[in-house]
Amino acid sequence: MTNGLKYAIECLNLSKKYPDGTQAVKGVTLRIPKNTLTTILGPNGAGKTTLLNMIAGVTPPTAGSVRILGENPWASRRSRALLGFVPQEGGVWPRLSVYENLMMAAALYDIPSKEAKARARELIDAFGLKDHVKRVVAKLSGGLRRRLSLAMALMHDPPVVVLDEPTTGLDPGIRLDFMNLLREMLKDSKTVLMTTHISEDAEFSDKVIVMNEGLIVAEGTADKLRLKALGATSIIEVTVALREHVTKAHKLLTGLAEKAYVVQPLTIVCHVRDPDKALPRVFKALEGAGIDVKEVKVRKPSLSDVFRALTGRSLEEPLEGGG
Amino acid sequence: MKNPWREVVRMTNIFRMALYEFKSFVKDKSAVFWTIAWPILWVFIVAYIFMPVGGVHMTLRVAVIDNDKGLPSSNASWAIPYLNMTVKKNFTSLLLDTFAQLNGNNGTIYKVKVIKNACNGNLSECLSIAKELLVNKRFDVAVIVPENASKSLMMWAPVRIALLIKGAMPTETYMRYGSIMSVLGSLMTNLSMRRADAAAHMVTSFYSKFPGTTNSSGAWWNYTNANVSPKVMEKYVKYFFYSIAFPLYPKLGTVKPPTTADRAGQIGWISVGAVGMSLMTGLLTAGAGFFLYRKNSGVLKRVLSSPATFFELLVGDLLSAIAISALSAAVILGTGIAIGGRIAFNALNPDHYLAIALIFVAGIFAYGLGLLIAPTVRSTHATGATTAIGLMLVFLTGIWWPPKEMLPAPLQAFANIFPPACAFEAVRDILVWGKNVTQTYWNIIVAIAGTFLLYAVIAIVYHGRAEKFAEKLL
Repeated sequence: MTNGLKYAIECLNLSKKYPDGTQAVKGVTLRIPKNTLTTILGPNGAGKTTLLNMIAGVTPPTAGSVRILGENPWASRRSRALLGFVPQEGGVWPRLSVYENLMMAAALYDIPSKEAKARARELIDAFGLKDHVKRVVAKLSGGLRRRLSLAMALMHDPPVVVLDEPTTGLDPGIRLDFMNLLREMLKDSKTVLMTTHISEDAEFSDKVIVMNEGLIVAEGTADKLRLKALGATSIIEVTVALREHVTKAHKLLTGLAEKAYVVQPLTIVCHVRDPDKALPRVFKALEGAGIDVKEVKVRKPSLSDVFRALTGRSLEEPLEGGG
Repeated sequence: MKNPWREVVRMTNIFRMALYEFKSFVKDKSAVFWTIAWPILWVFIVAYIFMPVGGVHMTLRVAVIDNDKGLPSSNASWAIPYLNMTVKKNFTSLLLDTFAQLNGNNGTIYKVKVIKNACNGNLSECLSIAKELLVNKRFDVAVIVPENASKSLMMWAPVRIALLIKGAMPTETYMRYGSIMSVLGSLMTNLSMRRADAAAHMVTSFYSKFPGTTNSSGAWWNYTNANVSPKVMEKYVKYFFYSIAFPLYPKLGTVKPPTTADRAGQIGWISVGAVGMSLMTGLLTAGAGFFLYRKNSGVLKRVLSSPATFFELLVGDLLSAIAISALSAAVILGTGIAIGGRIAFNALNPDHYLAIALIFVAGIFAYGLGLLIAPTVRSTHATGATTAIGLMLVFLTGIWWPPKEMLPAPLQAFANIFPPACAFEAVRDILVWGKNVTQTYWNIIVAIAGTFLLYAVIAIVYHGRAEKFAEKLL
């Protein structure tokens, strides 16, 4: 039944207004292709969690519809078995052991005991939890708890997995491991949808959906978003040595780049389509004008830059309301 | 050396922290309701139910087993013209008048029923009828009026009544004893006063007949009734004074079930009461915290996103709460037995298993009550709700002091149809009074039907709203 479907998740005009009047999600329509890793990127308060909660069957939508592989999770609770959910915080029974948590997840999804035990053993091995099987979850590190939470979401082997800010609060190394773990899941034909406000994590995705103030601002691959938002695929950052050279350098670089602007007292940021061609011109122009250059950096624009270009605000800056 | 704490402790910081803690509490609406609005409501409940306008009333159901043959004819004794002054009515009428006078004025409403010619004056037969009335007909006190009650009254002899008081526990007996004795005491005082008045009248008459007699020949003691010998006179004089002091002579007896007749049995029953209380408060708390506990432990979203239905979650939670309560019950009963208690449980009596089931029915009802308030319990502060409602449950079911029968009349009327109270009434009937199911079937029906009704209400309240209730805690 689900084989013919192109999208694992479809939301049409999905809205959520809380009883206090906050409109957290405003008529969002999105389609998540099967067997992809998609990230919803936005600052805290953008409405990501509320959107994910409506998809996961946690918060009822005020308007619009959700389909998971063609099934409406709000019409039939049984259809929620198509999805595994990893909530932002917790999601694990703190006083139970790792193994007991997995068995609890099995009970929620009505997995027969024998099958559940085998699946738990499989996931314990796959998620590197073997040494912690009998440990009480409250005593595990944040990274291990997050792994366990994901393992619990996979107990019933769902085709779709949604994760709410799964890497928040984790160390960079552990975050990297976790994101690789999510990519590994694609090999098992899973569809993964996650939210994050960490732009580096979104880089792992096949598709990024940028969300702000309850609306989808843009969506596509990371590079497509860069081109769309910045008109460039690379950024050259020029830091001059003297304050009096900043205005002059800015004027020169504006003529050479798609876009140039001053971000710090002595740094000018230039958006360029082809850095190999643009860089020699930049050096030549600055040298010709007698400007002392302290440092030149070439980098790929981050999705944080993309977000700033699209919304005019920082990804790290939380918004009022939303969720 | 400087004391480091002197540098750390700054009162302004403490006050500021306290202020923000307080603000955080005030902004939690459900906490404000349960800790501020609820106590106000509680004061009103206490004021108008426990202490209604017109006073607090306990109901005492009194059976008067009347064997009295009435007042003797006026020629029964030479003394009657004098004694007659004190008695215008027979004893039972005077007793009923006293009940009527005191009704509601001494904190008790007396529901008195006179049963005539039930045992033909045979005391042992009367006592067994009285016991039957107390145990099976829900009377609290039985007064057995003897055949010669009115005659004794008229003859200024002590009226020897028998008094039986029901009480499974000493507290119940004492409270009922106090209530019935205030009536009998009042009647006694009344009769003493009448007799004292009559005696004074007789002395006055005597003095007016022999005024100023001071010489030996004319001394008043030379004037005696020729028909009355000195011995008889002495007897009458003794009666005369005794009867002023003790116009009533109640012989007291208590009707105690064998199961609580001794300390071991009483401890056993108290242990069962503690099980009931722990079960009800435990399950009430579990129901009230249905959403909050899951939210606090961080699993609410996972549970909601699963295919498990609300019904499945509820039954799972209830079973777990029952298992915890059963464990607690085992510990309580074990402790009760360890300190010398004897549990009135007969493994060969199927009714006793029903009694255990009824204790759990009361617990399941309490869980349901908890579920009804669960959507309003959104913070740990608000869990105070369970304490408040738990207290009400403990009062209404009479599993702890005071017994249900001692409750003020309106509250008792409510308790009589309140399913957990009926469940415990049936448990008391079966385990303490040794009744069988048919003798307490009404309580069992109310307990079970009421619990079903509550869950029907819960089904209506939660239908399509469970996620919305949960959402408020997310």
